[in-house]
Amino acid sequence: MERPRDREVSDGELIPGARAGDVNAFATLVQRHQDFALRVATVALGTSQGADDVAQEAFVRLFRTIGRFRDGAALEPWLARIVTNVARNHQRGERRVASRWMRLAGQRTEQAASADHRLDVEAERTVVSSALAQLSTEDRLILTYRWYVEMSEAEMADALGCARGTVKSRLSRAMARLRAQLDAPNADLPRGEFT
Amino acid sequence: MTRDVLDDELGDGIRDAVTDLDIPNVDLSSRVVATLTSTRRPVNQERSVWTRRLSLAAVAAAIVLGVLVTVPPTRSAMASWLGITTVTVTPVDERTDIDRDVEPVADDLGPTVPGAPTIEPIPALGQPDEVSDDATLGRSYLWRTDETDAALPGTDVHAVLSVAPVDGGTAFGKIAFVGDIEEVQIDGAVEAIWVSADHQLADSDPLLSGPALLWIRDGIRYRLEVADSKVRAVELAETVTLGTDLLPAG
Repeated sequence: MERPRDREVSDGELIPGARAGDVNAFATLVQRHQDFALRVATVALGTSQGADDVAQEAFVRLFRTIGRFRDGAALEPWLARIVTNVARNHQRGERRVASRWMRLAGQRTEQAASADHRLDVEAERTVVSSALAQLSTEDRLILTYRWYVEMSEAEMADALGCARGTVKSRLSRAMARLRAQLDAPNADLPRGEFT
Repeated sequence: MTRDVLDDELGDGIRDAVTDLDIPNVDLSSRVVATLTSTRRPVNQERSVWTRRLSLAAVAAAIVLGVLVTVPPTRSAMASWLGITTVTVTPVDERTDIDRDVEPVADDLGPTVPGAPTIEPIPALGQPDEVSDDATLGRSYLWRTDETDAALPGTDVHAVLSVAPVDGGTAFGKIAFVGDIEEVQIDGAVEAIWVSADHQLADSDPLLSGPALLWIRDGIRYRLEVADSKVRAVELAETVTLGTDLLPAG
């Protein structure tokens, strides 16, 4: 994933412009972080369907609230929190999140099975994806923040809107639940790999 | 192997699984810019449009709405003559004219209704967290959230829908920056007023409101304060369902 430090103009240099209403400066931020926002939206929704609408709305909301963004802080935790909130609003009244993610993971399981697990790495990914599918949205998000986004505990606390101490315990419980899923009898992960 | 190493291996699997997710292949920047530029107009342009509207059209629309946009003193006689008292919206020339050092509307909604109705007046928002009855605003449904999703900075309220019958309803006023006030339509027909930023609600005590949509439909006055764009607020308004217990008893 491309990180802000790899680019010529930093987020910190673009944010004051966006804060002053410069839509072009904000568009650069959108281009830079859209992949991140789409992935978080997909994790939060449990499906890629509608993830673009959620990410788009999240960026509009980010523009509106960027005046409250603390100078010097990382943008992605703040953005992740907005994406998650928008996704939650889209989900309200729906109760199909788990089944949608499971359907997505199930498709991958079938694909991997048809290849007779020729590629162990692919199979492992599939099994982890299937195990993630069994977790709650909150568990999937905190694991995504920790391992995919590589947020610090402080950043996760920001993104989740909780205390740093709570992050540690939540992460620990989410990892334990993921391990439990991987240990479940129907998990076809090669045993001993992650346990 | 230590637990940390095991965590790292599992973490690699999580990272790969998320990296492997199929995400929409879209250019969000153009879509976001289009949304922002379609909902924002330069203040000067907004003012000139508003000034023109104030001459006749806005007042005429207010008559249809039952919502009065009050105007500078030279037109106050007309306002009085129209006799519309449901809601007054008073435009001010500067945002700094809005007193933000007052209590949020959501903190002054009156007593919570015991055994709150189970209806979802806005299906997209789901079950409201609280239901209150208030002498001025009527029955209010409230959805809580966190700071990034709040209608007003520093609060934890995402949305408030207040409903009251027009007949016998208590009047209230709004004071908003002229560039934040816009006429919109719900379902392409029902006239409404959208105030896109923080503004003041002038009840017996002044209160602070986040972005809000006002409309009247079938004899009921609606006020939706919500941390969302104009487009989304209108979409939400179009889904408001009229349950038998939407309004306060009596």
